[in-house]
Parts: sequence; structure tokens; C-alpha cells
Amino acid sequence: MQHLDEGTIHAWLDGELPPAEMAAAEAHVGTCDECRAAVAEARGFVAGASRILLALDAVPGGVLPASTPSSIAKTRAPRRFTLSRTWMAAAAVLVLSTVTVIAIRPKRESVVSTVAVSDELKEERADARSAASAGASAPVVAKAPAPSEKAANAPAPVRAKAPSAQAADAMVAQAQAPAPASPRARLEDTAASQRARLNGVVITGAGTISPAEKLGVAIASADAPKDAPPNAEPIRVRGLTSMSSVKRPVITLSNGVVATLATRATSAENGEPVEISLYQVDEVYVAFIDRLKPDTTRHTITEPLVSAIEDQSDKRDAKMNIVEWTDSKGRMRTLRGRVSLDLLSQLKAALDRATP
Amino acid sequence: MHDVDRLFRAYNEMLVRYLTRRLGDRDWAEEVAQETFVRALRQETMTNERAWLFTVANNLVRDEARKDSRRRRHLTMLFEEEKERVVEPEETTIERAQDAAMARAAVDGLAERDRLALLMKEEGLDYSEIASALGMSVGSIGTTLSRARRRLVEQYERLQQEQQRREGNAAS
Repeated sequence: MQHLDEGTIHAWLDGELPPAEMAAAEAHVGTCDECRAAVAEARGFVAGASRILLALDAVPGGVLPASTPSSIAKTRAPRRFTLSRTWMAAAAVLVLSTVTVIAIRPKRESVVSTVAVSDELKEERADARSAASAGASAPVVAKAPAPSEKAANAPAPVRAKAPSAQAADAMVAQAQAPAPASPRARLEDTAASQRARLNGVVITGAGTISPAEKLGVAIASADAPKDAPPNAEPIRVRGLTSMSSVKRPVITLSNGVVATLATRATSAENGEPVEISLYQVDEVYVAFIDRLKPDTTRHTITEPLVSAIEDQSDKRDAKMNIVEWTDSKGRMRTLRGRVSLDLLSQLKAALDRATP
Repeated sequence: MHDVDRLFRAYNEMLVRYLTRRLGDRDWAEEVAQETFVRALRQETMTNERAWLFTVANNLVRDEARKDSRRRRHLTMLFEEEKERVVEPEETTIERAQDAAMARAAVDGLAERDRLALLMKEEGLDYSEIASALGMSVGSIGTTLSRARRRLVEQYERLQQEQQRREGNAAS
């Protein structure tokens, strides 16, 4: 059989080939390295294009260009002026904090308070060090260190019951860090390693867009493992270059097995938003499909990230296991990968605890 | 005569998303979608509703939509109901706005036929529906989509690299 052309490969990935052609294409790809590489590349293009098009959805109204057909433009209904709950809450907080500051602020105290914050954090660090040296082993959960944006503006004291020395160092470093130059820099400035322990599940990672935050975990642990493995190389998906800068959380399962987040993307399944995360478990990729809306009907997953787990040629002999469940909010979740059902169940439990 | 309420509820969301991605303006997209459903009211038969709606929406964008104020009022009411039901999207951050601008530039750089085929595929239309809406042969859709996806991603990557270079220059 001749090599598959690009159009046929895309038709195959889209499930649009007739059954006979599909079988022939599958058989050919199974024996042809060149076509297998072309299929992998095409999957990247499919995923990348979907990701790029999703970015178009953050589009406001009322940006109609001057070349708009006139009759359409004339019939436009007046735009409603509404305030979202987020903005109303932000406005309320701003007004309250302004009033409070004006009412209670003593004159010329701002510099002193900044120093006080740093000193307080240093004290906490010293406390943490002494606690660690005393062999404190009970896992304690502290609040997340304030993101750099807060830190740059003389952060509120971060109250931790007994943060680790590392976490305290990170807090002090953040409190003393100069303001980043740009919003992007601020987002990427959270360099300190963050660790969390929730019900025996350890999640580590350092955040740019903070997957740890997305997982809804608290940060810091007194006895997080020191031998957390280095982050796995992320699966490269064209058009997702920014994903490579995302630090990945690690979930520790039983017997020292770890699941490392390799990459994550938002996609759509029959028009409904789904978040797809690939975890590396013992060098095998496991897909976690999290449907973001409750009561969403399951459809065939066409997201190429999920198909990527099929491309692990050296793991093809292992059985593909699937665990599917509905979380407490009615969202259907799926885990699939060529690992044991026991590992999948552990991962399920960990994910449920981390994102209840 | 078609049940426009049913058509609206089944296809409005995907049609508005398709048009928003195509036009870059949600208001305009909603207006074109409204007009599309108005046309559906007049249509006696449709062999494939989804392909028909996308074809008409494409034609409306190219041409000018006609007014039909009475039916438009009814549809406006339905739109308002829909707006109440739909959860407001997250606030747009600077990074997301940058991503959206790059995505828009990359999409606009595609040939029109490639762009429309890709946008319709993303809304779940199959090859035969896309071919019907664009007046193409089914056999050519795979090639069209492969070209569109490759060019979109390559163009987006190029824009990302330019952006990173600009940021690097600004930092130094």
C-alpha cells in the first residue's frame, strides 16, 4: 500500500473514512514508521487547531468593524449594561477596604507595616525550622503563599499553622521580591516550589498558571517527600507551546508510584467543555477527562490528546483500562490508560480528593 | 414550516459560536444567527437542518441580512431567555486577550474556504455536511482540513515566536 496522504490521515482521525479504507489505513500505519510519524504530527495539528479556535471564544460584542453590512448594523439591539457578580464583589471589596483604610490608618505607617510583614514571616520561618528540627511529622496544611502579584504589593500576612522551612523561605522571598515588570512576568513569577498533602495525597508543583490551584489544593507540607521525581517531559503538541512552561503537579499513590501531570488542555466534546489531563504513571500515560459541566452526556472522545495514549507503541500489549464515575457535582469523569485498574482507582480517589 | 423553537434550541449555541469565531463579534454573530432562524421559518423542507442552517448563515454573512421585525422580536425574546440561562464567561485576562488576538490573526490568515471548513468541523459537522454547505466534494474535505489545520498552527506558532521575540527585546 502507498503511503497515506495528509488528507486521508485527517479523514481517518476525524472518523470519516469508510470502514474498508479505515482498516487498510490502520494496517498500513501499523507497519509504516513514516506514516505513523505523519499520523502523530496530524494529531498534533488537530489538537493545536482546536486549542487555537477555543481562544476565539473570549470575544466581546460591540467590536463590529466598519465594514459591517449596514442593514445588520442598523437593526442591532441596544447593548445591555450589566455588572457581573465578580465585578460587583470586587467593587464592594474595594469600597469597603478604602473606607476601612481611611478610617483606621495612622499616618506614615506604610513602610513600617511592610517591614512588620517580613519580620513576621521570618519568625514563622524560624518557627517552622525549629518545628522541623524537632521532628514534627504530622502533616499540616497551610494556606497557599500569596501569588507574586499580592507579594509585590506588601502582602497580607500569610497565616500558616506550621509551614515548612522551604515554604517559609519562599514566602519571605516573595514578600521581598521586587514588583515584576509585566503582567506576564507577574504570572510567571511564582517560582517557589509548592507542596500539598491532602488525606495522604501529596501534590507538588510550582505554578505559572498554577495547576495546583486548579486542583483546588492547599499548599505546603511539613513532610513532603524529598525524592519527588523530576518532572516528566511533556507531550509536545503543536500550537500548545505555552503548555511546556506549566509546572506539573505530582500525585503520590501507594507503594511510591507517582502520577505526574504531563500536559493539560481544554477541549470540547460535542460542544461541551472538557478538560483533558495526561498523567504519566510509571512511564505510561493516563488520560483524565473531566467534563466541566454537570449532567453532560458522554460522547466519543475525539481529542487527540486522548489518542496520544494509544501511541505508546511499547505499551500496546498492556490492557487498556477505563474507570468512569460521576463526581459529587454530577460531572462525569473518565480515566483511561494502560495501567492496572488498581492504579486507576487510586488515581481516581486522589483526583476526587483534590478536586471534590 | 419548521418548528423554529426546536431548531433554535438545538442549533443556536453552535451557530453563534461558529459565527463568533468567524466574525470576531458576538453581537454581529447573534444577529446573523437570528436572521438564519428567520429564514428557517420560511423554508418548507430541509434535508439536513444543520447543513442548511450553516449554509444560510454563510450566505447571510456574505450578503446582507433582511429585516423581519415581527419574527425578530420573538427570536430576540428567545435570545434574552438564553442569555439569562447561560453562565457568564470568566473575565478576560490580558494573557487570554493576547491569545485571542493571536488566534484571530492566525484564523484570518487562512483562505476563506479553509477557515469555514475548519470552523464547521469544530462545531461537529461531518464531512458531507461541510461539503454541502461549501459546495465542495466530500472527498476534498480531508485535504482542506489538513491544510487549514497545518496553516493555522504554523501561523499561530509564528505569531507566538514574534511575540516572544518582542517581549525579549522589551526586557533587554
